[in-house]
Order: sequence, then C-alpha cells, then structure tokens
Amino acid sequence: MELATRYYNSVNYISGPLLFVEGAKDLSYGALVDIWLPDGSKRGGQAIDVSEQFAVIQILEETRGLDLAKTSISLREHVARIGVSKEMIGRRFNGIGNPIDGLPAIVPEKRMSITGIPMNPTSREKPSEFIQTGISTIDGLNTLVRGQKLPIFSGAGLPANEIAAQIVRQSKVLGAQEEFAVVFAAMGITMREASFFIRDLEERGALSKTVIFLNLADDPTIERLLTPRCALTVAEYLAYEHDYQVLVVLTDMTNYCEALREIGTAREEIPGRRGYPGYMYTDLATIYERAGKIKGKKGSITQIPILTMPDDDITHPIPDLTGYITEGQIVLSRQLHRIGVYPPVDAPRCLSRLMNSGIGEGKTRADHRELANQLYAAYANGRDLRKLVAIIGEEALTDLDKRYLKFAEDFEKKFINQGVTNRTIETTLNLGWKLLSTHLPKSELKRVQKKHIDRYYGELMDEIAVKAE
Amino acid sequence: MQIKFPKTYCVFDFETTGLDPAKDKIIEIGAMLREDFLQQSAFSEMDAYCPMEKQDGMLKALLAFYHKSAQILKQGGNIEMVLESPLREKIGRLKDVSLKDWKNNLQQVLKEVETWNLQPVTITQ
Repeated sequence: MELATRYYNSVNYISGPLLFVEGAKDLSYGALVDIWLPDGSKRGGQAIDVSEQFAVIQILEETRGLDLAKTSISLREHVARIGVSKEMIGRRFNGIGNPIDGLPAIVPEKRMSITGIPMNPTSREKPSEFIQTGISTIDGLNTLVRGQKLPIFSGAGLPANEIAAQIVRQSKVLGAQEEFAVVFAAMGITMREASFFIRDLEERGALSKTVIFLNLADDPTIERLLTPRCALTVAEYLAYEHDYQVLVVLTDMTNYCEALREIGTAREEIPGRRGYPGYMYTDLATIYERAGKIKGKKGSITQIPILTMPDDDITHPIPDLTGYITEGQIVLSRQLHRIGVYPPVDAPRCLSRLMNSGIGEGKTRADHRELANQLYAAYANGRDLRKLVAIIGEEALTDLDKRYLKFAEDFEKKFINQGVTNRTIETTLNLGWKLLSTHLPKSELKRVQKKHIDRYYGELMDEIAVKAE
Repeated sequence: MQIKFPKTYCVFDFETTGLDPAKDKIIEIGAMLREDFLQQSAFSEMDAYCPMEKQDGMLKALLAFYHKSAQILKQGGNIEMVLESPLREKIGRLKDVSLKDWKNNLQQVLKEVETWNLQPVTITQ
C-alpha cells in the first residue's frame, strides 16, 4: 500500500475505449486504474499496453465526458484482483465483482488475481466420479464426471439455457453428501435469459448456494472479458480452499468471443480467422482449463460453458476452438427441436472424453459401456437408413432395415425426448434395453456380451412401461 | 421341408431379371467380416486380445459359412435361408468365446456348417 497516490495527467489521445497516457512507464501491464473525470467522478480502466512513451489504458465503461486536458489516471492495483469470501455464496455481482443485489460489499478473506495460476499438471487428479444429471442422452451416452468441462453447443433459439438449468437443478453424485456450490457467470445475455436462470435457481432452492456474476447485453463489452475470470477465481477459491464441489455455468461464450474480437479490432490487432484474434485459442484455454480436481484436495470445479454456434456451423472458430480444449461437447439439433423433442440433443455429434472413467461396475452399471455402444450404433444405422429411404424409398428396405428405422424413431421419441424429467441412471439404462428389445432381435446386438443380453433383454419391458411413461 | 401348394393358381410372368444364384455373390458376408471379425472391443475381457489361433478359426468358420451358403443358393434355396440362419449369430459370438472353450466351440460350429443342407421339399395339395 503506497502512502502517496500518483496521478498521471498527460492523456495525449483518446480513441474509442482507449486512452494514451504519456510518462506512465511505471504502470504494470494489466494494472487496474481509476480514471478521474473533470467533474470529479471516476471510471475503471485497465492498462493493456505499456512502453517507453505511452501506456494504453482501456476504459471499462463509456468514454463520454472525458477530455484530454483535465482527465487524470491513478493506479488502483498492479494486478487485476477480486476479493473473495465464502460470503459470496448467495450474492449477486456485476461483471467485475461489484454487488448489485442491494447489499453491502463483501469483506474479502483474500484478494486473488483474476487470471489465476495454471494448475501444476502433475497435481491434476483424473476425474472419475459419475455425476447423474438425470438427462438420458448425457448420463447414458455422454456421461459427465466431476471435474470435467463439457460445453453445450447450441444454435440461435435452441433451449441450451433450459438444459443447463436442468443440469444444475438435477445433478447429483450418487451416495455423496458434500458441500456443493454453483457459480453462474452471464456474459452478454439478455435480462430475460438471466431472469430465467435466477428464477429457476430460486424455485429449486439453489439460489442460496449460487454466486452470480451478471454482465448483461447492455453492460460494457470490455467487462465481459473479465467476468468469466472473476467467476472462476471465486470457484477456485471455494473448491480448493474450502472443499466445495463447484459447478460453473458460463453463458454465453459466443458473446465473450465477440467481445474479444471487438476489443482486438479496437486495438488494431491483426485479425485471424473470421476476424477473431489469432490468440483466441490461448485466451479460451485460460478460461476452460480452470476446471478439474487437485490431488490431495477434496473440492472440484466442473464447467458447463454454453455457446451459440453462429449459423449452426460447428466449424465456426468459436465452437471449433472450444471443442479442441474442452473434454467433449453436447450438441443440440435444430431438426429435433423443430419436431418438439426436448432436450434436442444430437447424440451422434456429442462426445464425453472422460466417460469411460466414470462408468461401469461399481459406478453406474456393468453393462453401461456396451449398452451405450449398441444404442449409438443402432441409432446411427437408423439415421443412415433415413438417407437411403430418401433416395430409394422405404419399401425397398429389408425387414431388418425397417426395424432399425423404427428403432431410430422410437429412440428419438422416448430416450432423447424426456421433457423436463429427472431419470435415474437405472431408468436410463433400462429404457435403452427396452428400446433395443422392442425393435431388434438378439442376434443384432453385436456390441453387447451375451451375459448382459441374457440378463437385460426383454426382461424389463413391463417395468419400464410403468416408470418412464 | 413341406410347402402347401394350392390346387388352383395363377402365374404372373414379369419378364424381369432376377437373382441368378449361379453368378451372384452374397455380399452380406462382407458385413459379417466387418462386424464379427474386424470390429474388436478393447473393453471386452475376451475380445481385447485375439490370439492367432482364434483369428484363424474365426476366419475358417466365416469362409465355411460363405461357401456353404453359396452352395445352398445354387441348389435352389432362397436368400432368407442364409440371412436368417441361426449359424450367423453363432459365428458372430465366436469373438466372446474364452480360450479354454475355443477348440470345442469352433469344432461344433464348423460341424454345424457342414451339416447345414437344403432340405428336400415335399409339395402337398
């Protein structure tokens, strides 16, 4: 803490959100500063470039009212930090951590740098605890484990928010009773979308276990770049210092990336693919990699980022680069959404890279892996046959092919389309068996061992009729 | 095998070319090769590692089945007899047979393929 506050008065040039200050070469890169206006009010800013001659300050709010002669800058702190405390649970903050719920500021237990420190790779513990989300397409085919980062690749108008809210509401680790917390970071979403989440959390009593960071569509763009980092810093604090099992929901990463592009362009950086900065991959990694479990510590961070694929295009830089970093993806289908399936999960395009660590005997069930393989293969075959039918017609198919077609249809109607219900893993697996037993003969189930067929095939037809429907 | 043939019947001649069992091959065997032989599961206790002896036996059984089914078609059988034969599933499950039971199991399957013959058809009216 310094005794004297230094004011930098030589603001030479203002361009968009950027101030060029002379004689400020002692400012640290990334330092947070206060910008004092002629009328005495102050705004926040961050040093984004330092050199012998100029320091470039990016103002975090609007630039109206600033003038070259009377504006001055003072240092707030060298490193962008956020005060963290367990008291943040149940509170609501804006994009950079200031309270917006009408209650006073928190008393921080410590101030942590929002960029965090990368985890020591050898200290990372392999995630292996099965999380039951209650959603069959996830639990059955793309299993989520504690510590995983599994994004939802959505499209404009598709119900990713509803699905994320359902996951937050329904998730549990079977048999465990540990402290859990939710950190919800909203970037660039509308007030309506934010209200939906908040109301949903409130209705289920989860609001008191949630830390909310809101940077809405009308909040400053630059703040959007700090929001996920503030949220993850709080998550890391709760997880690794207080043993919480934290679920972090980041929505919408597309708005984050567009903010990155906007700022990059304002800084006249050389654009990369589609105008996004060349370093977007690294930048996204500094967000997504802040998840997982640490050896010797009880807490964990599980991330569910949500992004909207522009034009439903999975090869767009945002989903493309995200997919390289995250441990799989849940992709939503517009086609399924149109015919009224909820959740409209496009099973063949989904993946969970950590699934195998969290399933099987002692975790979910011994037949899980093989059943998932068989369901996937049968559904994929059915989807392929639909393309064939478009050309040669359904009559030209063999009886067996027609069964696969019916299987695919039933799979979409009953397995995928579960509505807002919470299914146990037993129900999910049994429903899978029921669908296979209904449509396909035993001889077709080549991905499953005979002992599982003997045990589960056809056995549970009536049981399921009572439970799932 | 018995087929009931009615006393009065009508003949439709479509003047189309149909399957000529003498010339056409069964390509379903290709699917069997892929699914029952090539596709292997690293997570299956029995199937993760397949020793040479087992691989050899599996292929022998597949080929024996192929040749026999071609013969059956030539003798006038129809394609459903081949596609719906219970031997297909038996051959498909060979991958899950343990090494302990391997010799016996293979012998049994090969014998069943050999004794698989077209039953003479009796027509009743």
